[in-house]
Amino acid sequence: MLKRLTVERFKSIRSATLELGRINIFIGGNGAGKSNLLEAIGVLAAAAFRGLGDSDLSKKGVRITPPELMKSAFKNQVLPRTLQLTAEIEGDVIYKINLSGKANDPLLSFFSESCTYGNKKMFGQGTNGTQVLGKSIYDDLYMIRSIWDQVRTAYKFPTPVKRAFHMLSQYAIYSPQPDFLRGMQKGVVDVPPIGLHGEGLPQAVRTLIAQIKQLKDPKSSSENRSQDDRLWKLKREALDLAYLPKWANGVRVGKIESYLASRALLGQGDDTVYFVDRFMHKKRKTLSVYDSSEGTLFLLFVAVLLSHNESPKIFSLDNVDSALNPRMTRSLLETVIKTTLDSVAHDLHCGPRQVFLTSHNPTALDAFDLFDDDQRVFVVERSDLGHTVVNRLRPKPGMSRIDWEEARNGRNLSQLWLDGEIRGALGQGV
Amino acid sequence: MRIGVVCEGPTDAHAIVCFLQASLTHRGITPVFIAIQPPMDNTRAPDGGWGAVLNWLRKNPPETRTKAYLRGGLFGDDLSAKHCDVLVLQMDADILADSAFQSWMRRHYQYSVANGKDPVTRGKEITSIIETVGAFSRLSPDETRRHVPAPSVESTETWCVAAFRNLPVDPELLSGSRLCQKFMTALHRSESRAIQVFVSSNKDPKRRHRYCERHSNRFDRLESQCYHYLNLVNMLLSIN
Repeated sequence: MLKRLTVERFKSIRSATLELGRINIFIGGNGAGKSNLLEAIGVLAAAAFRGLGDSDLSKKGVRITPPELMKSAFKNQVLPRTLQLTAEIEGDVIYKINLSGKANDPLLSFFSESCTYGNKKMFGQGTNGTQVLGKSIYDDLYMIRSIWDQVRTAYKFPTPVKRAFHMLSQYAIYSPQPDFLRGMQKGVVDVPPIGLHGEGLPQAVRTLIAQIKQLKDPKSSSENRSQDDRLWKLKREALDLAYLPKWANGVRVGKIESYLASRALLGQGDDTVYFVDRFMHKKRKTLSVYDSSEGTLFLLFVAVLLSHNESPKIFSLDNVDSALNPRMTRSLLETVIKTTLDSVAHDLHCGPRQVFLTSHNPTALDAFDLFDDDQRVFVVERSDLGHTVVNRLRPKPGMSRIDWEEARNGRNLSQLWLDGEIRGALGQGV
Repeated sequence: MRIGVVCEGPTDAHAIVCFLQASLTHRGITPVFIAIQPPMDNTRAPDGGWGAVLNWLRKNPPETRTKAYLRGGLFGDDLSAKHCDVLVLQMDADILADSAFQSWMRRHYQYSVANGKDPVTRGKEITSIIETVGAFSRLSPDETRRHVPAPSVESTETWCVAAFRNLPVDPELLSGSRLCQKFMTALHRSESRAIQVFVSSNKDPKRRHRYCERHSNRFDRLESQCYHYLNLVNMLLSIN
């Protein structure tokens, strides 16, 4: 788990340190810098995975921005030479990267990079050359590939360090798009089970359904029945997200009758996801993704992300309220929180261990318990100078749950947000 | 000084914010106004009315008000946007003659509303009503001090008229159609528009804001002519 993130001189973030929880949501005005925070983790993840090439960054969902624009460039301030990102990861591992990029550089490059485990330096690169586990390296290293990627197989690093990098390198920013979910636009699935925009939804749903069936198959031998039951429950609850809107009572993958397929899908020949509409005539109740509601597709996408065996353990979901009404948004968030906490509590091999979300829908907050340290809400706003400022939203120190009940006077967090009670949550000018 | 504003409607809010800003800044105080009532949505009775203020007080009993607004607010790390040093509770005196209002007070609080004649008595009555509905008896002395009733006699349009020019009569004695005519005349003069006979006061918040902002520099006229406005300023000064 990423415990602390420090971002310096990255895009709109001049300097910010965040103490993170298991489930983290960022709220704030448009353009406050929420997505920049997700991207800061994305750049760290790209470095931990391989490096800073365009494809490395785009695989993590980081927008391909010219290197010069990655650095904070506030007026009346000296343009910084580098940007710096630091991840403090569970297991006492600290990974710090200092990146440079000039006007005509096609890519960011490592200015310096270091990793410590406890008080031991694992590797580091600076003006005195590169050292790995106390030994100097004289070979030239690629400046756009991380040291970790170039030396990890050649040296014996402690297990917590390997775990930390493995965890961080899985991170990606997901932002599902209707055209990809509907199969209208094709893209690549860089990392299974599903692409960052929803590419490969049919295959991901098919394998998820198979995984659920397998967990209940009496023929499949399992050493740990109770763990299987928990996994089945987690996957089932996640897949139930697709039924939240109440119009569908089945989701399948396959080919559908041509007269039920939209003309836009005809001729593709691929399998498609389809829903069974519980209100429709039995010969007309099969709805392809093309004809299904956008919100339902989005919920199905999240179900895959939460519960597929191959889903990353740490990820971001930008605009988690996409196409969802307020009640759906809250229910979705409750499932995300429950799934994550269950996965951690029972050490399940699937289910997320850490999630980062952004939202503009106030009811997203109603799913959160501000008194639970695993669940954290961050308010992102711009200072008078335009710097992104991040503050954790929590009850006033010393306030008990009973005090909270009395002070909020029956109002949900969503109402407090709308009432303008949360500084910065409504953006500037309010 | 962080001043929470609980008032009847948006036009009252503009009058309170613009004029108090000028009066307090002139005395070396930097006020920050926190809009608490009216709420942000647009589905409400025209310009709120007495019900908006009194219902807010009923829905936010003393224990809630002090915890949510006067003791640092709900959230840590300075994220409580609405924590205040003081709550200003504004209500117009023109409601005292309203039989529906009188019966509401009798039904809910066994309170007989006195529809006095002179402005001071009328201001006192509004204060007493705010104290009753706001259950001031359950507040500590410090909390009571930080709840400032702000009777506008007869309404905040009176303040607008008083800031516009010196009047031959006490502006707090103006009411009904006379006040309406004076206010609308001042508004139209201020905007260089033709004067006519007016039957109702304009309640457009943007227009009111422009007017109050334009004439807030004559807060001295307002203070010298409206006893209750000056009293409000003095109470805020005593808290600072």
